[in-house]
Amino acid sequence: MKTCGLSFFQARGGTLTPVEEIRAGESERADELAAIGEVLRGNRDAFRLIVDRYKGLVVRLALSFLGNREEAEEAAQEIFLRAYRSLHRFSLDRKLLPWLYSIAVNHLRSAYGRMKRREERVTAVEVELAAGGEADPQRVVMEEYDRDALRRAVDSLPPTLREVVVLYYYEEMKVEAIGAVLNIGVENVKSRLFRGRQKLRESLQRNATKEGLP
Amino acid sequence: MNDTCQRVDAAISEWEQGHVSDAQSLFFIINHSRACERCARAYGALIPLIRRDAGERSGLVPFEESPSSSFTDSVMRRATRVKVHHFSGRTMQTVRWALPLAGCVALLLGIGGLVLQGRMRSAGAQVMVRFTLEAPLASRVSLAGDWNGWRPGELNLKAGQHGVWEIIVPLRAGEIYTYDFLIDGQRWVPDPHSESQIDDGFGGLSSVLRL
Repeated sequence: MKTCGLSFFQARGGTLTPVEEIRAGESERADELAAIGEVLRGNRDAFRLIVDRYKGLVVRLALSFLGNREEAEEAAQEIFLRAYRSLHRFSLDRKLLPWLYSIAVNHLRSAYGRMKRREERVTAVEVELAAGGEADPQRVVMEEYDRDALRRAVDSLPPTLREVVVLYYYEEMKVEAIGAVLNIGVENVKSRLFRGRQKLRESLQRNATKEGLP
Repeated sequence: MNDTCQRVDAAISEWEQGHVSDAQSLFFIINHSRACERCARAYGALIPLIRRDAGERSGLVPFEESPSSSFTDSVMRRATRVKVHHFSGRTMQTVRWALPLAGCVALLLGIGGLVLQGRMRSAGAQVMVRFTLEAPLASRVSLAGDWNGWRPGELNLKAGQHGVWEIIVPLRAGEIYTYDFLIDGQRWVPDPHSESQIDDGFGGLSSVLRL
């Protein structure tokens, strides 16, 4: 599935050729601008196009931040509502997706804080098991264990490092796009990634030592 | 721990420093970790991150999530419930009734701030709120907030003396609102005398009003 503006964010593109991507992007952008205009003129239902187009990416982003499917869907809905309320403030010469991501990241920061405070968080990220019966059960269990361990380590990072690590490694966004969304420079993104990797490695090794690593 | 483990330690250290891993290093780490319990426990959880830096997908979150089938309908249903309060005759009647009950009429003049006229704490009651902004160079000032869907141009302030603009808006007690002023249709500014301000998500600030 091709999603408008995605190439700005994700390090790897889809199956379309570059020319096809540009044409598809222009056509989708025209649709979006028309929809935004409709909404601002009072046709609320025109917002449906925006939700349908970006819901997959926004839910995925929320899942990366929150690590819980139900919380992610709820947060994603609130992100769209926040965007809806703020649509008149969207500058038509900008791309919609980076604007939407900026709203999303701001919302998810506080949503994550609220979730932590409620202490209802489920830390496990759903593991997509490989189709077919050839997967080594022991390896699958180990991978699941590793993902949980990684998630716990990521969640223990300071917020400024955590959000960069989530956007880069979970969302697989480019450093330039992360800088744009968080309103920080590329060097700052790289520096946070370096410190994030360092802390993750230390944290994981510390935990492994506690569990009897030789 | 053998020589291979030491090579894995070195490869991890290189990765941590930000030296981009190549596919060869990645496969070396993965293959060794599958055979070595020590390295699997020390570095297994980092493999998705190394995979990402080696140009592969990390695979930590499915590439395109499929929200529930009711997702869009649910957002649209909630969007229709966004509260929009307008001036109306009914509103003014409610206010006239509310004022004596509130027992106070605050006619304080505030420069660059808001004044509640007849503060009514019971949730849902209408209260009149006067918003003022000192902007002597402005030719037009309007007010927008989440109560009117942030639509600019609906609530235009009247120019008063000494460059102070003013408008009175009926709002509901028990709610928390965010709002900003729009100067000359171009520049959003928060209320300098609002009780607090929050990040508006666009690099600016929104004023907060608790009634």
